[in-house]
Amino acid sequence: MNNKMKLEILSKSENESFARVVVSAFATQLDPTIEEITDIKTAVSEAVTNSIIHGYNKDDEIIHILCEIIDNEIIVEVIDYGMGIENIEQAREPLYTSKPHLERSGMGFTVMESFMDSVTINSVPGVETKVVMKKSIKSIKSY
Amino acid sequence: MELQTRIIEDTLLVKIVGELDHHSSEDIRNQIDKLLSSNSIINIIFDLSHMNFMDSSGVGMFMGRYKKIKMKNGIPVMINIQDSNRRLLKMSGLFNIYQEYKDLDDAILAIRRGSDE
Ligand SMILES: Nc1ncnc2c1ncn2[C@@H]1O[C@H](COP(=O)(O)OP(=O)(O)O)[C@@H](O)[C@H]1O
Ligand SMILES: [Mg+2]
Repeated sequence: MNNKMKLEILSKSENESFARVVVSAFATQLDPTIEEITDIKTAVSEAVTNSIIHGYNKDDEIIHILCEIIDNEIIVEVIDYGMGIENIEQAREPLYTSKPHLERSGMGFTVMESFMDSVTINSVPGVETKVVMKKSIKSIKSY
Repeated sequence: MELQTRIIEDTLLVKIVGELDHHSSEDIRNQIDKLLSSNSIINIIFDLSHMNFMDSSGVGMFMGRYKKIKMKNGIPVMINIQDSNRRLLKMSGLFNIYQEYKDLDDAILAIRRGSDE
């Protein structure tokens, strides 16, 4: 199966739940298990929350979410055009957060990495930050 | 998200109904901290039976409340944990700092025992 979807949202925290529900609804075409849906929902929530808090820290900027299904794999890209990440290696470290005063746990990227098959981060600070996450859905029906 | 709170002796019982993410955790934090500012509350029990989503923003909220309870020398507890939330709670080390009990009765008994020691 092949399919695509593109979502544009403002960087409001209300949109965190909206974004993860939309992506998980799109993913249902692959007939995922409840656990796989939870994994996708959680990973999307992490990436979108990061764009809102770290990328922008403002609630009227644009976040793009691109989803593609290729065979039994779902690819989710979360893109913002905010501050960006200077040191990606450090950002990925479990427990690292640049905003400890906000009670951030620093576990966002660790969650994305363990709930999805792969996570790629590309960032040009001040221009564009893109997180690409992939997951194959095991429970695909044989069509 | 809806928060149901109840005070049992010197323990604050907090039931999280709905989704715990960055958006809802701010509200939850404010409501809980207002109640925790009372000196007569020492322990906290989170009832997670109706928490149907959580991400790492929730982890931050739980860690923050843990610190407050530790400062009071109290006991932080989670009860009625759903399987779907277990992986993240475990991964983030929250089981190392929170005590888990099956239900409210077990938790209250354990807290009473702990306070006697
Ligand atoms: N979209 C983004 N734009 C800018 N910085 C980011 C972005 N996503 C993540 N970061 C940086 O990476 C760090 C780690 O992210 P994460 O693991 O999700 O932890 P947390 O969100 O709890 O800080 C953040 O503290 C932040 O400095
Ligand atoms: Mg994060």
